[in-house]
Amino acid sequence: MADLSVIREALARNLAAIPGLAQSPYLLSSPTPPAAEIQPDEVIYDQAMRRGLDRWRLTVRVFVGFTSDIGAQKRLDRMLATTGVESIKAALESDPTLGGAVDDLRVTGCSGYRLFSRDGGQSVLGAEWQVEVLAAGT
Amino acid sequence: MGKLVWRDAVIKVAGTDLSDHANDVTVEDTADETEFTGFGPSGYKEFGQGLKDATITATFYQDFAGSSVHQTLQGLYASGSTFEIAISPMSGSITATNPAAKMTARLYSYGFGGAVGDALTVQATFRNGGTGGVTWATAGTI
Repeated sequence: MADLSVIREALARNLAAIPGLAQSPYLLSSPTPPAAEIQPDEVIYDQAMRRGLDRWRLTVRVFVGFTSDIGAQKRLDRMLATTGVESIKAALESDPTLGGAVDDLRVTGCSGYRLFSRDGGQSVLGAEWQVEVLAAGT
Repeated sequence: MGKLVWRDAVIKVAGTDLSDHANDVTVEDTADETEFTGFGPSGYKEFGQGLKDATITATFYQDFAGSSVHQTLQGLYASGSTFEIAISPMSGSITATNPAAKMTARLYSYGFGGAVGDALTVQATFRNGGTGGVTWATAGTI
C-alpha cells in the first residue's frame, strides 16, 4: 500500500544525488537555497478495482536563490535539463518504483522559471516540477 | 444493498485474480430477436428469443510480472484453450445480492498499446467458448 510519507521521503532521497541541493520531503517554512521541498497535490483514488491503483500527484519545488543573476539561472537551467547530474527529472525518475513502494512514477512537466517572494521583500528564483505516482491502494 | 459506486469487483481469469489491475468490466448476455408474427387482429409483431451469445470485456493495467496480466492473457490466447472467467460485483461471499457471472470463455485476440505517458493498458474480449453462456452463481466462491 502506498503511504504518502513513504512517497515523499523516497522522492527526497532520489533528489539527494544532486550535488549541493538540500532536500526536504515536507514543505519548508524558511528554505535556504539551493533547496527542494515536496508538496502533495491531488490524489485520484480507485483507478482500478479493489483499491488496486491510486494516482498521486505531487509538486517538487526547488529554490536556487537569486544573489547572482546569471549564475542562479545557469544552475536552474541545469536542473531543468532532462539529463545530467543536476537534472531534477533524471534524479526523481532514477528509481521509478521508489524502492518498491510504488508501481511507477513520471515527472510530467515543469513550470519553468518562478520567482518566489520571501519575507523582507527579496525574491528567490526556482521552479516547480509535477510528478505523477501510480501506486496500489492496498 | 442498494445502488453502488462500482470499485470492488472481483475478476478471475482462469483462476488468476486480476481484480486490482482492472478498471473497466462489462458482462453482455444477448439473444437474437426472432420474429414469430402471424396473421391476427392485434396489429402487433411478435418476437421471441433466438440464439444467445455472451461476451465479457475488460480493461486491465498491463503488468509483465509473473502470473500477472500479460502472462495470463497472452498464454490463454496462445493456447487457444477454453477457461473460466468469473466476475462478481463485490468482494466477499457469493450470494443472491452479490451474484457471480461465470462463463467458459476463449480469447480470440491479445495485444496492448497506449499513448506516451499514459498507463499501459490491455483490452481483453472474452467470447463464449462453451454452450452454457453466462451463468449466475448465488452461492459458493468465485
